[in-house]
Amino acid sequence: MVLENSEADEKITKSTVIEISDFCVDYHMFKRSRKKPLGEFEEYNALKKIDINISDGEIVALLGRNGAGKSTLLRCIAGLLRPSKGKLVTNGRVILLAGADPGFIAQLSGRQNVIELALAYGISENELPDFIESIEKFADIGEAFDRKLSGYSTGMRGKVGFGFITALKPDILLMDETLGVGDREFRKKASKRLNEFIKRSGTVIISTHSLGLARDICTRGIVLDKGGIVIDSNAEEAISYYINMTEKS
Amino acid sequence: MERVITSEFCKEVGELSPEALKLDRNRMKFILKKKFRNLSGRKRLGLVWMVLDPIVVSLVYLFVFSVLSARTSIVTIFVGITLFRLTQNSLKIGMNSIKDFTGGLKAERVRTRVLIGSMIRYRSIDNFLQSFGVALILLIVFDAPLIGIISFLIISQLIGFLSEGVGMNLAPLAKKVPDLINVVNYILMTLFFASPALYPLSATEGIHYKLNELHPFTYFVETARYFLNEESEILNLDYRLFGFFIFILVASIIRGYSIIDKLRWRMTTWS
Repeated sequence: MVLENSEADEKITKSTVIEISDFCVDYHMFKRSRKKPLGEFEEYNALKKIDINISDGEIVALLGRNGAGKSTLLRCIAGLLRPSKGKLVTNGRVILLAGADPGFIAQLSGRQNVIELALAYGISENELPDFIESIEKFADIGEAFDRKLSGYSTGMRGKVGFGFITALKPDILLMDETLGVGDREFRKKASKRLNEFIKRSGTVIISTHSLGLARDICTRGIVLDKGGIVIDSNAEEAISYYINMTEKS
Repeated sequence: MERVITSEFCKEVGELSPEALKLDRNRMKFILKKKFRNLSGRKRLGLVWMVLDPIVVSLVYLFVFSVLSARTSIVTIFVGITLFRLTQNSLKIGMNSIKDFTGGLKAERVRTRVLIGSMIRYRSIDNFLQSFGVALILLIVFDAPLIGIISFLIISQLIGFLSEGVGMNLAPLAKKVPDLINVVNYILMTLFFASPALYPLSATEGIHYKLNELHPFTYFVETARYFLNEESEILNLDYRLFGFFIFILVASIIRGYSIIDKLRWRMTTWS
């Protein structure tokens, strides 16, 4: 996915909005073995000694192989995962865009879902009509918008969900490999909307395998490998490093 | 707002603004509605089933007892079964409370106070729905005294909250050792038949009576029956023991709600 030209570079760096120091994350997984037939919890190290400072207005690409710890790091910044060590401070409202389900209720229609979720995501009643209209227009699913969500296809659900999340106004936006839904036409439309969303958000961290996306819009690149940072530099340098790293293996 | 994350906590610094408080209220409403919608699902009668359920189960046992020619008062059965089912359901909900600490909102972290607020509201409404239908039947069909009906509704609330509190204390252990859920199910099944849910305590004797004296449920159900002018042993039971049980149960519910923040944080990396 290639986004349109971004004005991100012009953003003025103000202050640190994400401060991560000496940060480690361990997952605790239940494992049964022949020696321990009743099972036991085993620790799995997902992130080790992460130190990052991200300033207001930065657009950061998080690169790395599958299992490198990108999603774990994003979930930590969103306050959804507990570290085993270290400290993380965020300043501002954090929204995690992972998948396209903000928390839909299957028994309600698309419109009802948008109304109820909007209030739960802090959209005021005054803003609500415009908010609904923007999602309805973007999703473009016709009369299905007033049908129950349980009858939606995955693509239709994704359109409403993506439209919803990208209509919010976060200070810090975390994106985890989004845009896996919809047809070609939708993806094009979604790219445009995503670009607008990124511009509207103060600080953005994008976990992606799309180097084109990283090159086009990111001002900084961080490459993760086996839970640790291997390079933290400008986007171009980080991308080159990542390409070399993956080609070697 | 600044948020600080360490291995011990995930907390926001500073006082909540009026907007944040309003957002929390909206989120509580959302979570509450979502829970009840999930319960009613596609059922035609929706939440009415929560009212009907204790009535239908009581009627089934009444039928069984009539076949067995057992002479147990209808009111005694209605009260016993309703309170026991409340105990059972609330305990299980408490044990499962750990399963979803996101509140159903997937793109943003929800404050713990929102989760606790919605849990308390849900418990209160659930307790009411499960006891309201039976209370109405007792009042209209069996001409039960009003003081008895009010006591029954209050005891239903109490027993629901206290059982959920016990369940919440067991939740971390149940997450580590899921087998505990099976064990609790067997215990509940045994207690259903062995405790005075289906019959008054006075119908028991010897070791059966002694064991029931050590069971907190006995005190609640016998109190409810006493105020409904039914056969009850509450005045013959040791009130100090009742006080002790109340103390333990209240302590467990306070602990249950107070550990939610720590627990939801610790659970995030368990799988």
